[in-house]
Formats: sequence, C-alpha cells, structure tokens
Amino acid sequence: MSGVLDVLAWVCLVVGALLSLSAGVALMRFPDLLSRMHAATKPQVLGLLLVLIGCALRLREAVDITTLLLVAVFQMATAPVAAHMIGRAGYRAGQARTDLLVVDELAGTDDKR
Amino acid sequence: MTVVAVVVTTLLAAGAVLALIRIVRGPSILDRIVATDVLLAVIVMAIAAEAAFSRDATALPVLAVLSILGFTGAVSVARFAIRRQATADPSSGRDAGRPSPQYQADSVDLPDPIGSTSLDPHSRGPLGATSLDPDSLDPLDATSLDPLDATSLDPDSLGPQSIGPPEPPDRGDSLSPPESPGRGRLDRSAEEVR
Repeated sequence: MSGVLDVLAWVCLVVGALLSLSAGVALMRFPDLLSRMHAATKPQVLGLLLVLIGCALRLREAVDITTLLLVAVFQMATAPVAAHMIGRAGYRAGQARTDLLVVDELAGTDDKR
Repeated sequence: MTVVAVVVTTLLAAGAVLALIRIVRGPSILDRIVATDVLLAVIVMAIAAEAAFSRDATALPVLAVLSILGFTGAVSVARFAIRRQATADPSSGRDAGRPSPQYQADSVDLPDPIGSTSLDPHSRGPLGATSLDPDSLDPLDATSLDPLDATSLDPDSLGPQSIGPPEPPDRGDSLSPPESPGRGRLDRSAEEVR
C-alpha cells in the first residue's frame, strides 16, 4: 500500500514538473501577452495541484494535508483574479495582438480605447 | 526515489530558468508579471516537492504565505499599470504609436513637484537653493527664486547678482539623462510588442 502511494506521488510530482517546464518553454515561444498568460496557467493551477497531491500522498498526515488544501484553495481563488486584471490591463494597453484573436468581443466597446 | 528527485528538480529548474529569461527579456511589464507568477508557482512546486522527498512538513506554511503574496504583488502591479494607462491619455486610439506619448506624458509629469513647469533653468532654482550655502539665500535671491515668479522672469535679470544660478542648470542636466534612456527603452519595448 505504501509503495503504491509512493509511486502515485512520484507520478504526480513528475507530471507537475513537466507542466512547469512546458510553461517555461511556452513563455519563451508564444508571441503575445494573452497566449503567454494561457501558458502560465498550466503550472499555476494544474501543475501546482498535481505537486500538492503528490506531496500529500507522501506526507499522509491530517495536519499537513489540511495545509496543502489551504494552499490549493488560495491558489485557485487568486490565480483567476490576477489573470483577469493582467488580461484587462494588457488589452487596454493594446498589447493583445488583435490579428491573432479569433473573436474580439471588446472590439466595439469602450474597453477598446 | 533519487532518480525521481533528480528528474523533478531538473524539470522545475528548467522551467524556472525559462521564466526568468522571460522576466529579463519581457517587452512589457505585464509580460514580466506573468513570468513572475510562473516563477512563483515553480518555487511553490519546488518547496512542495522538497517536502515530499524529505517527508518533512516544516516548509508547508511557507507555501500558504507564498500563494497569497504572489497574488498581492501581481494584482498591485497590474492596477498600477492600468492607472498609468488611464491617467496618461484616455482618448487616443490603441494603434497609432500610443505608448510613446503616454510615457512622455509620464516623464513630464514626474518632475512637476520641484517646479519644472518650464525649461527655464531658474525654475529649478528652489531645488538647487536648498543645497546651497546660506549666502545665496538673501531676501533678494529668495524672492527671485520663488517658483511662481521664476517662470515669468527672463534669465538675464538674475545672472550677476546671485551666487546660486550656476548650480541649478547642472541640477537640471543631471536630472534629465536618467529619464531619456528609460523612455527610449519603453518605446522600443512597445514597438517590439507590436
């Protein structure tokens, strides 16, 4: 049982670390702010959750799992807010490349200044 | 186990280095915020992985603190960027070289509290007078160095009678060069984004 949990923990840790590497590569390769934000959410949410699950599978104590759950809740509550504000600031600053957008729903509104 | 630890550490380090390169190169401040968030997530993942490998829960409260602090920093910097956009030029379009008048407006706004409403060197007098010796602060010069009057005076009327005026132009020259490279860099970065 312990061995199975350990293997699961290793898998979660390696997959989460892979997501961090992919986000790093995407930050270097993607062309504009919005696509970089898309890449940045992978380690922020999924990668972090996988690593926290792997950590919880290794620690296996109620207090530690509660702390890890708290970290996960904080991260999942705050990451969308930060991404929303960064995206809005980027669009208003004209840093979203409109030629790369499929749909630009803010095109006719006051947000496009 | 050791193999897994080495693999996870290598992957996390590679992601952190790439995010760091984006922080350094990132053309705009928002790109740097995004890359900083990624770097912070990688750091949180590294601390959690270390706790998993060593089975030591000492560092877990650090994760909670980091996940809140990173959000605070990102939101405050994003709001700062929005406010700078909003105060600079609310009416111009987004596709006609907009960042350059905006950042110029910022750099003009900044020296205002020290009285540089004109390029007249005497308007910078109060800044220089604070660091001068008391001899140059006799009543005649003090009134002529008043920021309200200085903009209306011509430069020649002050020249011979005051000891101070050679200093303020130097002040003005030493203040201006740090602004122009920054403005040029921001312009270049804005063009690079486009």
